[in-house]
Amino acid sequence: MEEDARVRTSQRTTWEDVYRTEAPRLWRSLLLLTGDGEMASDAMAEAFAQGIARGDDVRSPGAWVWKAAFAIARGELADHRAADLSPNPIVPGSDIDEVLDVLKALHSLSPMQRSAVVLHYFAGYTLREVAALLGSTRSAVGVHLFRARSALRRSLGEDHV
Amino acid sequence: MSDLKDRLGVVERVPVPDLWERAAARSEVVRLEGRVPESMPPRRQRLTAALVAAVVAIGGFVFAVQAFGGHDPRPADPSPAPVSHLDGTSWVLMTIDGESVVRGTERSWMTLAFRNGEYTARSGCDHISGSYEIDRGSLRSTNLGESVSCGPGPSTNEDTFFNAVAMRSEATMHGATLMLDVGEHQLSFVQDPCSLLTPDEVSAAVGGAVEASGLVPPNGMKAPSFGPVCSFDVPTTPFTSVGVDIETSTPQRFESDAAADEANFMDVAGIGERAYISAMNAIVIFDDGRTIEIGFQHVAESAVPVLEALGRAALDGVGVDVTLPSFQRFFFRAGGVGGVFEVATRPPGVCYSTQSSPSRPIDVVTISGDVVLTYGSNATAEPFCDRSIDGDLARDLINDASDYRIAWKPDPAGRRQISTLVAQGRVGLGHGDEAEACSPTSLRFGPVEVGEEAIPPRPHGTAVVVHVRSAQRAPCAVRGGLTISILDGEGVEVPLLGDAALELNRRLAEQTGSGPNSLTAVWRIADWCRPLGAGPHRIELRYEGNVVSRTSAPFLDTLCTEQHNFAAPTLPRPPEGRYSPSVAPLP
Repeated sequence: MEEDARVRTSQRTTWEDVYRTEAPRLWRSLLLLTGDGEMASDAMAEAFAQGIARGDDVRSPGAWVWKAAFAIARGELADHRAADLSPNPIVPGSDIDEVLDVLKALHSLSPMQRSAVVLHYFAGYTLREVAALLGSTRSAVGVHLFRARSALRRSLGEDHV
Repeated sequence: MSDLKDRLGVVERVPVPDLWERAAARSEVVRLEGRVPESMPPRRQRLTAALVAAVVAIGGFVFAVQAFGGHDPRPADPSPAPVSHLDGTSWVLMTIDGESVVRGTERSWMTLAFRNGEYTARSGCDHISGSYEIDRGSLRSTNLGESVSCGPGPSTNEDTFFNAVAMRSEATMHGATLMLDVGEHQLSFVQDPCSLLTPDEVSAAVGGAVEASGLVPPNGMKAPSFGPVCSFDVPTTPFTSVGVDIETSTPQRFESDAAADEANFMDVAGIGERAYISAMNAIVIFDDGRTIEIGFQHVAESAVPVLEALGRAALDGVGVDVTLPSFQRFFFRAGGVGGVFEVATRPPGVCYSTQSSPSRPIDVVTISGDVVLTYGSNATAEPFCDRSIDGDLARDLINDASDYRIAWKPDPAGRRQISTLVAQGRVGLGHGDEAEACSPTSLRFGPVEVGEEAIPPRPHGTAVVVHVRSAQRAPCAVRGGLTISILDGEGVEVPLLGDAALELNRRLAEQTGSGPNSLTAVWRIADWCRPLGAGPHRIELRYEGNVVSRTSAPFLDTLCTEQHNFAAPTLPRPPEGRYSPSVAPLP
């Protein structure tokens, strides 16, 4: 029993390290993907919870949690496709308008396009890594990015894309 | 594009909530229950259904990573993709039945090139050529045009190679590796290494002009037991030659080679999945299931930056997407006048002509009305061609032309009209009026029947047989673009293991001309036996804009638990993936 507890603690420590490393970038990526702070929190917490429960079965926790969190968030988005952005989804402050502008622009993209844009341009993953995280191919991700840029060019303005 | 990064970067100002305790507490519930408790709020249940889908997808990825790292010489990609287009590509044979054929065992490299509907298979000065066709991943030599033998007689491997090319084979891409499976033998190819680096890229990296390049040794000469497959002559610099060697590999083999290379001294980050520079005259890169080695001859000075530049150049844009056509012809029509619009991706370009002469000016517009290409009154050549278009646009046009329209005036004095692009070979048997009659949106599906005749049980995975009746008579024919989705009871799409893994066989039944078309589609769904969200499942078929679905298919609901009771596959523990490489640090 004591050994079990030690093992669990050890696993928890590993996952906590992953959390401390990945959470800020992952949560903000999920915020860009969903446009909803609560949904981003739900997806990230659920992904980490499932990962912690799996312990050593997950060989690359960092990559796993990104893939799981994005899959969960996209599932949530499918259920809320018709919903608009929450009126005050994130945090009060002077930057809220600028953040909302970006979120609204991203909202015009399909979930896959949005995922590709966020993972590539915000999280900094390569096309190949984005393809692995989204279960797609590098060429398909390239097409998603091409279309997304075209759409963002209209919504954010030519200068920004 | 840095502006887009900057715009997205505004979220850096948003504080991140600390969710660690919440996740840790929730993990205890997951671990103790072994499943999501039914008392969870509805939203959580949906989350779990999505997570199950994610885990299944990740399971496939992990399985693939394991296979990739094993001793199977086939570079196992998680989702081998059936090849649909090879024109414009060339390949070097690496293995036959897993045994290397490139290390001094043969008199020359064996190469296979596809150009303009014809192939050439070559070993030294022996070669065969002819025309070929690819039908749903099946590569077939349709006409043997020329067979030349000039040596002392083919070796066993050459014999196998030539016979395999001349036979029907199943062609799939496993990462960057082309696999031809002729049943008795499996052959693996990598992209012609000469195409990894252009002379311009070599010239830019080494700071000198490139005078010659090509496969070495020349045709007919005996291959050395070591040395590059392709070389570039750079006579005006300290490096008289830059050579490229390439072979299929695995992370384990790369690790072993790196450990055995006592002279290696520098680990290189950011190039490929793993790279090191050996003895200052070669950079060795592992990437996408292959090892690429780029080296100098006659090195006069340390040239690490040059090697790194060559490494980056070799990996920049080398991916050849052979699952997407490199060429597509479209027809468009309005006011009784038609036109042809052709798109190519290698190199990118479009050509068009209209029935009126000279060709009418056209705009290519998106469905939202944005003009992406304009060809005005100067487009008088027949046909008019533009070789300067963006490669992404060319790929997008071929990938999904339904996003684009042709805006033009078929009659100079008439009004401007909008025409859809109808792809030749996908729908319809002709062009002009026939093409309009068979446009993607005119094809209608009848009822979908999910067959009960499952493929016999197997260790894991099964097949679903779907019969579709088209409500429309000939001449419409479905030749591609039909996709299937399966959604579980909560509307979550069941992740299938890639298009390649899905499609076992799809054929169009013979058209009688009097009855409705009948299409029998068979999809193999690997690893089907997995927990799914409760409730009836739905199977959806899509063809362009048409969607037809059938819900509550009992076959799908009961397949796993009641009919076959498949055991979950036991997968060996996978090696570390690229996100946490197991390769030991180099000294």
